Amino acid sequence: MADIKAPELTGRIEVPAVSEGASAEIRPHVAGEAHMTKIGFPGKLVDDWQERAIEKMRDLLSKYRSLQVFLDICVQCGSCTDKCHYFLGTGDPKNMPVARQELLRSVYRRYFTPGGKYVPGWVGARDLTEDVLKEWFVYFHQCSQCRRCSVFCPYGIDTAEISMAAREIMDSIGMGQKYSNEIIGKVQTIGNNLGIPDRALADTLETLEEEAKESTNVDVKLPLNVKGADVLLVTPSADFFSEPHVEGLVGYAKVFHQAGISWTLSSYASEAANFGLFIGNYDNMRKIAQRIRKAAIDLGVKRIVIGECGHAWRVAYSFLNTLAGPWDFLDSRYPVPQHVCEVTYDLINRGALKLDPTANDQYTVTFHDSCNVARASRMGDQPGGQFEIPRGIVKAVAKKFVEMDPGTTRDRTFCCGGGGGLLTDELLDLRVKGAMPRMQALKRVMDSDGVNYMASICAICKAQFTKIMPYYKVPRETIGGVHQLVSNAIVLGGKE
Amino acid sequence: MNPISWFFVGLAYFAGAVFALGFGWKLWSWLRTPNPLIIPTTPAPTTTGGAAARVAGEVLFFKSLFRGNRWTWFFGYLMHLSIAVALMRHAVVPLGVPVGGSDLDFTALGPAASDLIRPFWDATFRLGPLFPIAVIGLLARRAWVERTRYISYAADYAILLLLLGIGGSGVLMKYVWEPDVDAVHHFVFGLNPGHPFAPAPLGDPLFLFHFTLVMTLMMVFPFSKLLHVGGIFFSPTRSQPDNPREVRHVTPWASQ
Repeated sequence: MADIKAPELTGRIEVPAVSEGASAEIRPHVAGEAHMTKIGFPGKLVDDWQERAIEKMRDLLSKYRSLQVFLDICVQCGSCTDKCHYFLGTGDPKNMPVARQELLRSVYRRYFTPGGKYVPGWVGARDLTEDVLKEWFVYFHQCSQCRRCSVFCPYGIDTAEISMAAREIMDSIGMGQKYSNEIIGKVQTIGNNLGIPDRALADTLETLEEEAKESTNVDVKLPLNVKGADVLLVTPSADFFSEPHVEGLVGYAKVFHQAGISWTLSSYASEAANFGLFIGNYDNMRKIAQRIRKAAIDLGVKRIVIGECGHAWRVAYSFLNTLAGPWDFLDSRYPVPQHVCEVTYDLINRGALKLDPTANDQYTVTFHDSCNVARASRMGDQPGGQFEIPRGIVKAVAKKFVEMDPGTTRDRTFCCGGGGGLLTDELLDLRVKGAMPRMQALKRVMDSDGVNYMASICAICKAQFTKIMPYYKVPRETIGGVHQLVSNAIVLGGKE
Repeated sequence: MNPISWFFVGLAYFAGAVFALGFGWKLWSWLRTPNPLIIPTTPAPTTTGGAAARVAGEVLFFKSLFRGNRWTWFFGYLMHLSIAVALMRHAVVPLGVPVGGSDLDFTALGPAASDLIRPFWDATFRLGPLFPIAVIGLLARRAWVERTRYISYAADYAILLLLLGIGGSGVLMKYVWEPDVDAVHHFVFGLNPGHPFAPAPLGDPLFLFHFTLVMTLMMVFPFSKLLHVGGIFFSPTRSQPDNPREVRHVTPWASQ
């Protein structure tokens, strides 16, 4: 890993020259038999993989209008070519969104369109050969499904949909990705991605309670499996163990404590993340989402609140109603589900929290919009609430707030470089390079405004930046959660 | 009617059938395929009306492309605008107005409307040359920029060259070698079902060239990227309203 070098930080994002094959050697581990069969896929590459892959493609084309339309209508206009952080970071032309799509589209043309059948050379149609399959495995695991390309596409073609379909096809013939599939197996047997058993989770929460008591002198609780609580909090399991995530978890607990909301975590649904999304597999995504439903029913809660996690919020906000609804047994006065930022923001606006922003005076804060929150969800009643609500919280709890270049925020935000199931060590080189655009924008406000805290509401962003910032010689403590700031600023105890 | 005239009549009917059946089949194929999940690129309008307005913004102004790349937007918009104008001017031929003429009578719409429309209509008369210019701009960009050159196939250039041939021959007919307009009208009207077939204007090779390329474009349409014309209305990332918490979205295959 010593040979991984980060691009130089200049504060500028420059479009690189095309460099064929620049990232062709970066690929994730292939999932072994145990991880594959556990979640319903063949253990290894099946003998008739070619026919089965085409059959799977046919099946997906009949199930997803998005896939069919997106494969049919791209005009190769090039608007997306300089928008992907992995292209900007590596210069590999197959990381240009349209070229990535072409890896699948060329095969689609060959087997499903007259042009591809009769004049393949003219229209860019290819047989599904072993080389093509290998290329799929490499480049469809160099897409973090962040949807930035979709923003700039005249037809809204979303490469995330294409890469999900490609991963689904590869899983169906026995060529899956170890990282995502292993995690999906864990969440389905243990209840969370990290594989934390009930007992260890309970111990962790107890320790956190003790630490909170020590530092604040207040009995802030982190309840687990409490029947009859009002709120079920489902949060990424990284919040239980990882730094800086855990600071955010304490922040949620303080908010609930101070607002007098009865709440609980569930050990059965101790994971908000849903990697079923990343591999494009509806059944696995649905099974994971159904755990939240079961936990809500078993615990008899009235509301569901989701912690800081980007893709989890996409699955929760956009899909939970479809995957695990209807939610008619919950309190209809609240949206289902709610983001913890929506809860906190609402409490702040109602004056229900006492905040001391001077507690964050050591920080000059900027906000990194996480891709799935920014481009695949909403908060509050209005479109764009996903931008305003977290910023509203940050501004209420910290006095110094600075925006990064508007070309890199809100719906034009850049992925952290570790989303979409790529947060694994063997892809570290790619992750470091993919973080380049965000790091350049950050560098600029670090230099111009002294920014030393980049707030994010995503467990993957937090883990990714913690890991890659040192390669850019930026202190890893620069990344943190929004509720970590809330945790610092919230004044516990009686209201004045 | 000589055999060559029958060839052009046959070509027109064949191209029309390929276009209608091919495009119709595609539209049907998209229509019958469900969207199991709500996937608009956000921020997105929360109502169906808002989503329709968003699609209209893409169709009428290419809003996303404008954000993505100004040069492509400029040449692309110019090209589509001039195609729209050309189609409009061709469409009034049945009203007795020659393609290049400007003597359309708007007085039936009332004097106010007529005064308003008149200058715009007359202006479109002079927009023809913009079409080949726009296509050349797109061709140059495709070949010039390293990234777009990398993603381009022969088919991408071929379609632009086809459009250039159509636009170029159209402009030439208007400004340089004007065909026998009466003979052309006669032939084109004869293609309408219910009218007697008329001979092709064989003395106007430029017209026959123009006509043949248009027929080719129609035949290529259902099997090429030209499908974006219909597909944009079916793209879920633009056409779906953002309301998944408010409305439960269920499709049959995904709810078992």
